[in-house]
Amino acid sequence: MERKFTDLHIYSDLSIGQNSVAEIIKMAESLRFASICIIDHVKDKNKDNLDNLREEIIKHKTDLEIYTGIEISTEDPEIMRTQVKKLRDKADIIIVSGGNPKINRAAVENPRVDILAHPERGRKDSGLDNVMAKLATENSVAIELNFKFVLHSYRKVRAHLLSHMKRNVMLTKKYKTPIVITSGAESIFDMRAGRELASLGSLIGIELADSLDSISSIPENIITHAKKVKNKNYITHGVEIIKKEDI
Amino acid sequence: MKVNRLPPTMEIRERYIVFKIISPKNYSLEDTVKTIWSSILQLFGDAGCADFHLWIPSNLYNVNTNTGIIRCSHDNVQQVRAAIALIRSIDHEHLIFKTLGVTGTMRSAKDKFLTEK
Repeated sequence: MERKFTDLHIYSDLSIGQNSVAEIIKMAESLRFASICIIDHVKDKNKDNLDNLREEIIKHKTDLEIYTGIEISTEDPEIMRTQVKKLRDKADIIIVSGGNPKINRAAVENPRVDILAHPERGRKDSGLDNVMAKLATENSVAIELNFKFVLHSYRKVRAHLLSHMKRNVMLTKKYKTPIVITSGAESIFDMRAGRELASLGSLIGIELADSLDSISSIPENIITHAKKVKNKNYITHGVEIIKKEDI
Repeated sequence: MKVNRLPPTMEIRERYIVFKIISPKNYSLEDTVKTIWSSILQLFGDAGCADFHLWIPSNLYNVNTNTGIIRCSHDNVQQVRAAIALIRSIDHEHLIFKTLGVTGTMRSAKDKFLTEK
């Protein structure tokens, strides 16, 4: 069975990207993705642009499955929590932009967050510890390995980045935390095919099979889990309201 | 005097990675080879690269379609793929290196990916 690859982190020109939705779809088709997620970037308390993004996506006819997501970028955990609460029902997936240890911790403690993006960004350490990895597993928050920062860095910076990513991979392996590999593309030329992203995963110590899972089956699980969380009958992990007729 | 071939059990097992450059421009063989080698050397260094058994056959590179082949040892396919995925540009022009497939022989690489049907 052929794997269906998914890239969960692509920006269009409606947020901080450079290319239009049409160009992204064309490139994703030529790179043979089965589904992609176009992300809207929200800084602090700013308003989202999801409605415009959805309208733009509907205009294009394609076999690709296109999801919409939100990336929340802030330095204050309280703002992050309120934004997650507010935007959860609107977006297919919720990504929290990591880097600040307080935000990293708050994100992995929140079961409504789907992905913690690049916890090692701009840091001198990996941004994750064993407690956070454990919490991420409990709350099914996936840790993201963002390809963009590897692609745009050189020599010393890249070496440090790869070593931090290796440490995160080691932790996630130990605590069985889900990992997703994404391109984080701001331009269509930052996008890479599924197999290439998987080879990046194998570069930082993930087994090839697991690496392939992290761009195919794990993103799929995240999206189905997000649909479940959005359901009104969902209360918390393992607790759901079921009608009598459904039993 | 000619050096004998290695006994079959000791021979290095090879794989052929067929790649395509996604870009509106066409790139010459020299530019492509230079970029691939520098990317692999940058990521793995001289000593790491020594194990890869790398070769880019010049006669199989097609300038018009931007397709070609990289030979490497079968243990290092993922490393080479990762290294070529990290190429961003040639002469400040952005592009994507896409792998079309990996084969065990050069003939199957030619038949499957490089001959027009």
